[in-house]
Amino acid sequence: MLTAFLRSLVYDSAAVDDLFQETMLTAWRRLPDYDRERPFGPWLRGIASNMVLQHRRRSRTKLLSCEPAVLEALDRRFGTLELVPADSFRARAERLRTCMERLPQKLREVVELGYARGLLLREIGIALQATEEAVKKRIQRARDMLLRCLSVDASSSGEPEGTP
Amino acid sequence: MTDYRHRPNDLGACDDIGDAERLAAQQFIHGLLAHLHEDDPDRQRARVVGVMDAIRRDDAARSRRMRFPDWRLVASTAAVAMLLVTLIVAGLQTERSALALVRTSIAASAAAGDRAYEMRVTPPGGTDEDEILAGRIDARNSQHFVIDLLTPFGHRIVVGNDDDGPWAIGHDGRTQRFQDDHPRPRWLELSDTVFLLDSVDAMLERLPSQYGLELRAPESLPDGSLCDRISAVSSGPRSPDPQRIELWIDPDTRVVRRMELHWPDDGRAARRGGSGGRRRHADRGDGEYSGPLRPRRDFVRDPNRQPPGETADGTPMALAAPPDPNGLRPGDDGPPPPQFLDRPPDFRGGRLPPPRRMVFERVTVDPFPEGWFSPEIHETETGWSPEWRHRCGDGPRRPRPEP
Repeated sequence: MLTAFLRSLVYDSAAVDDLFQETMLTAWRRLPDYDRERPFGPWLRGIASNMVLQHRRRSRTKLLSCEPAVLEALDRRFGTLELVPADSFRARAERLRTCMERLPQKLREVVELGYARGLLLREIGIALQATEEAVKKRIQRARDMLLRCLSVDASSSGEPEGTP
Repeated sequence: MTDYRHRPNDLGACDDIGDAERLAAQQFIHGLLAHLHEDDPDRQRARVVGVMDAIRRDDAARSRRMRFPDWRLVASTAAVAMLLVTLIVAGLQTERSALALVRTSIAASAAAGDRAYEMRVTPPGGTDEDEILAGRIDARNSQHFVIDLLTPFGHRIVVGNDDDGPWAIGHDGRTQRFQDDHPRPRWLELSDTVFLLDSVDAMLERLPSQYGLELRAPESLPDGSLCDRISAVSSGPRSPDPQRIELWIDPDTRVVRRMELHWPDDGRAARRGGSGGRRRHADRGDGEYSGPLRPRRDFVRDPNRQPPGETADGTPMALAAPPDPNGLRPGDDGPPPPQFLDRPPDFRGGRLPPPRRMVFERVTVDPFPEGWFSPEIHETETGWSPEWRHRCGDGPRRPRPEP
């Protein structure tokens, strides 16, 4: 869960590795301060958010949006995903694969090129003979549909929704 | 493998101002997609191992600053608890690749508690029958261990690591402490070879970065337990470290049961008058493991020469007969005392070859007493002790008695 949270804020994989380690080390140091009456996930994500903000200040690594309101909304979404019954966070996230199979061909294509093959928008555009702007729009539509699919998927099985 | 440098770069930078919910929704799915496609179990495991290393370093540094036993207990417990939680979260127990297995073993060793390994050595150019019992490694983790070694000529060497860092007790019984600017020597020069003085945990931690790993078919140990098998071959530039390492890993606990370090036999031992060059057995790493070999006491080339510290009729000399200031022992005809090497040996052009093989095999022990990893507790026993007669002689082996 922590890795997915960090990946929702940072593009660079090496930075994700560093931030993961810094977050866990800080959590370990602050473990005596942790209130066991409260859920562990938000506490850990709070530390991770601070680490990301510190990282932003000291490096030029390109980050995704980390405005306070966005961080808060992100935390809520991850918190809701945590409530979905499954053996592990990975198992919950794997539901996304089922949702990807339901995407229309054009949208599934851009997601696969972008995430499975790691192409940039420009490269996807060349591969699909589409403009960069068109690829951007498709990828955003794909994410919207995946989010809705996750929500429907969760609620149809009587589980909490994936969206707040 | 996915190229981790790239990512669909359509999402806004940090300073973008927009609808927070919409941006968060996009980033949420982006995070899940990137996690699913890029964070494979090997990568997750590497992160866990990195965290555990960082925690251990942090723990050691803080222990040196704050010397409250209760605090250390709490810290160690927290570290172990966090390890277990992380292992469960990362789902490490299902992976079977060689690298995954080694990394899991590193993490499992850190939480395994007190363990001991017998150390046996086959001298340069020797055969399996020449293997001797040379010492024992007591370990709690990579930062807490004791290597207790008795050389073939009866000199006792003890090295270890505790909360205050590395230390060593030389053949003369003197204790040395080491710091970062003067690290503990990893090599001990004897009269006819050079021993590697590393703990099993430390060797294990070197594998992912310095060795190419191969998962082999599971293999049984003599007690019938089936173990996972790993072969590791040095992948870096030629170094004095073992060229090949064979591992037997407990499939349930993921802790190393047996480790073999192999050096290539370049025939120099034969030229020096040893038994080098002969290979009565197939390379053991490629064959079935047939169980521990009967330990011999020393590297003696003259079979009539009694071990040092022992009288001609075989009775042990009094314990109050440590080596003299020159490292010589009563009845000893003058082998040079063992010397720590400040730098790695040069096995290609140096005057002494490496041993042919070192074997570490786990033995059952009770938890170690308080202070076991500090030098003070080991300073009292010098030389050829009755305990060593049990451990190195023909009698039944027994765990080290509690002091």
